[in-house]
Amino acid sequence: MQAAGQFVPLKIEFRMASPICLSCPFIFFDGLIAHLFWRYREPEEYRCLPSKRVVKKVNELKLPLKRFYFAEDKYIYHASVSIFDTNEAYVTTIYKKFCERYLNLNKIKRKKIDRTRGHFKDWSVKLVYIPARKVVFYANGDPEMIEELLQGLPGLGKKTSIGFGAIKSFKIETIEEDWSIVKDGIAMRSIPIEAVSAYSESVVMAWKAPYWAKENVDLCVPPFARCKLCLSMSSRG
Amino acid sequence: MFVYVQSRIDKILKEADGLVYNMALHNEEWLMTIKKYKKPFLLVHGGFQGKMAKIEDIIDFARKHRPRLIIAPDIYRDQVTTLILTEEYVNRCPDLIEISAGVIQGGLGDFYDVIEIYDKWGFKWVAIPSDNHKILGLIDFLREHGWKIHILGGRLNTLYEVDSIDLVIGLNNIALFEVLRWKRRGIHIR
Repeated sequence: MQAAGQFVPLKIEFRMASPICLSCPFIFFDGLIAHLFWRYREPEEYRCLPSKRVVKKVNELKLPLKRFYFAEDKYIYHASVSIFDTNEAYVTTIYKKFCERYLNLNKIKRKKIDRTRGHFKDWSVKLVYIPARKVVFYANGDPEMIEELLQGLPGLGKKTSIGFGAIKSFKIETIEEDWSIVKDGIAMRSIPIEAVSAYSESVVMAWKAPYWAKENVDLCVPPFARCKLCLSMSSRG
Repeated sequence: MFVYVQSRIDKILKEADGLVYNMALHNEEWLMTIKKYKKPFLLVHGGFQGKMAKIEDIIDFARKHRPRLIIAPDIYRDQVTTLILTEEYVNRCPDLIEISAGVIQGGLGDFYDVIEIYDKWGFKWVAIPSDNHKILGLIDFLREHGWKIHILGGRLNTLYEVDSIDLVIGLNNIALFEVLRWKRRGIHIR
């Protein structure tokens, strides 16, 4: 029996109701938790974000996940990337087009709408979707807190508003071994090469949330590549 | 794309690929119009208009007049009742399933499960209400898996590639442009 707030190795399994749409090959579990944790901790601030300034608050938050320190102030969370039950992947094109159906004609004063530029510009984007039925993450953290946070998750991946990534159910299991960073010599997340003593391949990619921020990009061991963690480094809560 | 139309304007009816017959309205005059234009027709049960025809009436009518496509009974935004009604429909007329479309309704429910059930029942077509945005993103997935797609109640200002669509058009000449736009769309955009 573990005490509340204690970190334990976990396996988080999502059962999906629809395919998952992605713009990056992986979903990072610490990124997901960071997003949900910020919304949970500071709901008012989260909903009043500035429109012109980039906010990178995630680094200031102490997530309910164990940290692995590989330098004085550098750490990665014990959280794996998504593991899908299928290798299939397809491409879909998402269109956004001005639709007069939703226009409030009483409020609109303009007689012409420019659809080639500005707010009503039409666009299309090609995205990959994966018809996965089951998605697994490994983590080391507080199961109660993680469960509470995941209750508010609307879906996995991109474009959940048009049907992708719908979650049927999820379950959190406590496991004996910690597979959140490395499992049987295979990296389960992006690990900076400073943190490993040997590796089979390296890629320039983000290693901490927010994963879209360029300052978080460095030479890393990509997920599912062979590597060996430096034993001198430590994990802390 | 095959465009079904329900309208009173001669120009529009001539331009359409097919016409819509609403079982709930059950109008002999409209049936005569369909026969006059010699066009294939789509049989809908009228649930969206709030008055759904009985399943046995739909089946009798379909066997007598052979529509190109039949929309299986459904309840707007209620996937569970839609599946119950569709099961009853499937049990009563296994011979009509090939030309019938099961409706994907509601928010999303379990999309994978609904598709599997329709596949098990032998459907080749699925119909999607045009305001069900929770499904529209998955049209490519359905096409990739061999489904034919009908969009219920057109006016969908997006560019998804579907097999057929139905438009209900009032006394409005602008609507002719809409019919033409839908018909030409497949050629220009692909």
